[in-house]
Amino acid sequence: MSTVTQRLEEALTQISACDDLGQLENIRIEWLGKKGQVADMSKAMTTLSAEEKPAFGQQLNQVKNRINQALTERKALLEMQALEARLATETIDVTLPGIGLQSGGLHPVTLATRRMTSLLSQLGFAVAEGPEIEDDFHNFEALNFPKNHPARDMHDTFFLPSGNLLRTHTSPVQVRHMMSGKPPYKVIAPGRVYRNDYDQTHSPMFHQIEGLYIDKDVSLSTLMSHLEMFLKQFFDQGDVDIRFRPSFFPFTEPSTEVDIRINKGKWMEVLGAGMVHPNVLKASGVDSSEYSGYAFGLGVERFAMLRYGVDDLRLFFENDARFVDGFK
Amino acid sequence: MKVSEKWLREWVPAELSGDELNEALTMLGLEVDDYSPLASFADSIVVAKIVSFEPHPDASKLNVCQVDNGNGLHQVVCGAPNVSAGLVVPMATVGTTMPNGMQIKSAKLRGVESNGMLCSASELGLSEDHSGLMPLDPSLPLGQPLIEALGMDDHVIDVAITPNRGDCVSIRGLAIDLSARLQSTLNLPELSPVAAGHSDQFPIQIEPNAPCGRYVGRVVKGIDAKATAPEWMTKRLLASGIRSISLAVDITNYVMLELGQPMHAFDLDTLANGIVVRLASGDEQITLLDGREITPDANTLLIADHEKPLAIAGIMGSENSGVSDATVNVLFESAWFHPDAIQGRLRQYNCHTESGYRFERGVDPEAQAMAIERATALLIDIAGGEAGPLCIEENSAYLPSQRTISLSKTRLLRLLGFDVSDEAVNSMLTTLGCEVDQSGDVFTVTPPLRRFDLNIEEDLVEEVARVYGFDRIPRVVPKMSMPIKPLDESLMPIDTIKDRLVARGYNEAVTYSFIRESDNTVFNPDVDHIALSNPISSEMGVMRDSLLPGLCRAAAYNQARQRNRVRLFESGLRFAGEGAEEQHATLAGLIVGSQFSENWRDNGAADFFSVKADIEDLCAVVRGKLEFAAAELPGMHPGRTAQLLFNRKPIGWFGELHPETAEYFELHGRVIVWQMDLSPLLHRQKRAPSVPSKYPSVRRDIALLVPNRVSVSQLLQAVNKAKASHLVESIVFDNYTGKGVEPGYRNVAIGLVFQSSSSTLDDLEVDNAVEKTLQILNKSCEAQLRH
Repeated sequence: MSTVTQRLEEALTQISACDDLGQLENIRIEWLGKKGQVADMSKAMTTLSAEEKPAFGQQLNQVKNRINQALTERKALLEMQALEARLATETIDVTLPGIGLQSGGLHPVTLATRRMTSLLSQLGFAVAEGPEIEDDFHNFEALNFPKNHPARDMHDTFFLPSGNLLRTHTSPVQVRHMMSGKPPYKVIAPGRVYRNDYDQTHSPMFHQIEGLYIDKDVSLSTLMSHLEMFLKQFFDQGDVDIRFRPSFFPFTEPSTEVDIRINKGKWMEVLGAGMVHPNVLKASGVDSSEYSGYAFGLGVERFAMLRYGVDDLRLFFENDARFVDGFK
Repeated sequence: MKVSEKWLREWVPAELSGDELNEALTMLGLEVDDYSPLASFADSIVVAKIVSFEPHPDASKLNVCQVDNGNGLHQVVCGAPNVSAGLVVPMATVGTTMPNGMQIKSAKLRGVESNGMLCSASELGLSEDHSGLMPLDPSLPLGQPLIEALGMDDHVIDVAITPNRGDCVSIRGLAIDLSARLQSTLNLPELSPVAAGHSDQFPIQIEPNAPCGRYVGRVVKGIDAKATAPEWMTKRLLASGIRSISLAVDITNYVMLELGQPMHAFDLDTLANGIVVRLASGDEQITLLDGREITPDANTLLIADHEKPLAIAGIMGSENSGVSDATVNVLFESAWFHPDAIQGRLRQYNCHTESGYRFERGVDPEAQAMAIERATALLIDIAGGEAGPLCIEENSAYLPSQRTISLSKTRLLRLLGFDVSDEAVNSMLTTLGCEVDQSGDVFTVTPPLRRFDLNIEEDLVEEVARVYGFDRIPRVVPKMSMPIKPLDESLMPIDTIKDRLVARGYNEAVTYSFIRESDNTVFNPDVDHIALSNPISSEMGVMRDSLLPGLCRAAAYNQARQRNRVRLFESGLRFAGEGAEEQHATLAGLIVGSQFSENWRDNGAADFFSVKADIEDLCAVVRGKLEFAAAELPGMHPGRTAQLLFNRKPIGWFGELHPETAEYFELHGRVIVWQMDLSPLLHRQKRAPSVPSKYPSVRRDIALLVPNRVSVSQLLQAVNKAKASHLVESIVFDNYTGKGVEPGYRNVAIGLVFQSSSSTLDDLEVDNAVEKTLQILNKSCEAQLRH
């Protein structure tokens, strides 16, 4: 009997000494295979008496189980070691930079426009558009700019050989919008505008947003409260004071220019507004005895400059990627 | 308009600080642009006397002066020619900063110590006289600051006058508005008529078609030709930026500033027979005061005598009829020209004069006699002489008449949004010079003729708001009904498209809509340019027919700044068709450089196919059918350009720039560009989601040998044409030419994916489908299966 025990010890020693999964499989075959050592040992069964046989069979089974168990444990151990070894070789420097597309950025004019559109849409304004090559009627005449009037001098206009012009403001969209449907109107019109003026603080092309609100109960006081709410939210980075000054635009009466002051700094003019002039309503087919309303116009670059702290207008049109990167 | 603060305060004696005065003007709509001291020199410049002087030992033109500045004797080296003992002059003491920025320090001039500087009038910005030291009144106390000594302790208020307020281009106009706002009294200067000392008249005639409502003339005889304007007057002119010229001219300028009535002074002895106000003949010449000789066109209003034109009415006089330092007999002109006769002329004749500026905006039609009386009184007071009677001619067809405007209280309330008492409305309008009659709820208002801007009810509403104070208007938020607006899912917001491009690594660009002509022809040699009539420069001369030249320039700008990887897009209009002036909303992009930012592994350049994926992705959001067809287009690489078809309609194109185009724009690297019409992208098809199949898919890969002239899109069309059942996807996974493939051919491998929504497919079914597909591929594309 002791031989069986000795053989078992021999097998277990081999297993625990094995460091290789292939080798381990060979050991399994050598001991537990059909022609393996355990099978070989069972041949001794034939030489035993009927009384001895059950005990020997039981002993062999135990041996088989012990070897099997040792093999399984050893295999699990070796597999785990192999995995650990492989993983150890796969270590990377997690601090290397990532690779792939990085998002670009929107132009600050778009960012400012979106911010304004989003704020004003809460007051119910929808977005309207109009052409950039305009005619005299929509850009001037319908907006109550008489021919030869000094008010036209405030707009350095680009003309085309046809007699048409590049719109000098987004206000013609007011006229087009009113002529294309019935009141009430509540729209904003963002877009490019053009003035023949080019120096450090003037670009021959810039962006405006026009606002128009016409209904039965719109007053100067409404204008002031709406614009005040809008400006306070747009410039939400500090304490904002707002001042309405009387001014003059041919297409509004009364007219006002609006100044803001952030954190008690200097007053800065940011937009022009007023109650839409009855002549404009008339030219656009709106009954001014029934309807009244306000309009405003503002320069998007100016708002973007104040909001984002940019002090050079030219940066907006150079398209330097490093500038746009700053707005990502 | 610039005015002296002291002068304005003489008219409006309200107690308030300079800042408060400016605030009051600004809040009246008379925006104060600038407020600065009248004197541009420091108060460390003082009155001093040259006690003695001797020539500089080492410099023939310099003198060494001993100067008493009230604070002891100081040695000053001076180069002025008019140095003399006893002369009282301005002295800049050590430490002074001069108007030109120079610092006065103790210094040695050619070895001689000098402590301070004696000044000329030009060094102090007081006049252009730099011929010598500025002589001062010898009775002035030595050491007194010059600002005080000259009475220059005043400020200049620069008011931005809006084009509707012609009445405010004068002290009088500003003062009337201010007195209404401040509820202050209004002090008028002495304006009573000057009695005639002789009876000489000068005949005046206004032709019937001449848009001159009134012409008032007056002869003043026997003035002292040597008399000059007193200091108080020249200082006020200086505050308004007007230099002293001669007494008569200074007086007309003074009265213009004060009352807003431009005037003219003729030398009576140069005039022939009488004044004629008439339209120009169109072929007569006039030499203007600035020396230019012009031929006014036939509708220009002229002042003439019986022989020659004397002035372009209201704008500029001629060289030969003005007063000179020999003039003893003066004819004053104080006229009212219709604004229509002046508007547009300033620019036409490039004569931007103070007079023209005022007539263009409208001068008070009632001020002519008042102004001429004021001018006469000033002239006689200063230079003696005798006034004749007023000579007044009118052309009533061109005189404005009184108008009345009804202002209803309901309208006022509706437009303002708050209530103002009847008394307040009445008082505000009255102090502005209106006659007000109230009957029930309606005010009947007759505005003064000088207020050209008061014509309709809304104009009066503005007056009430303005004088009441915009700052006092209560903020009332009206009740709004805010129904939820429709949200049309078929509309594709431009914001979504932009965000998509940004997510794919594009930066948004904004480039000018006008570009140079040669840029515009790069991508369209036949472009029908829309050229600007008055461009800023030829570089911004024509409206862009394409967004790409702008993007190319922007990319080159970045490459020139060591930024080689550029990804830009722009959305905006492009323009074409002189006359037709089409304006198309357009989207365009440009890519050059590596696909990813430089990194440690993958630095491959972006190419046609990486950009194609951008376009495919963009169009996929809109859910339309996008196709590409090889195309040869101007400015583009002949073998790497495709036309874009969206839902079978051409919407644009994309590809690689022709190397010559890249060179033209000074770009380096392979530049990929694309441009498409925006409008088709703004409407998307309905979402049509399909239910995912529960059964497994089967994939069969086929490798095809195809002639090079057959495109992959033709192969895929053939696959579709075969209508193999249950084919759900075709994946092009290889495209190979070279070793093992005979010349003129390539190997294209396609994975065909089959899937049924109702069962698991069996091999036979799939085999049949593949076989059917191969037959069609072979028949229509000469594609052979490679084994």
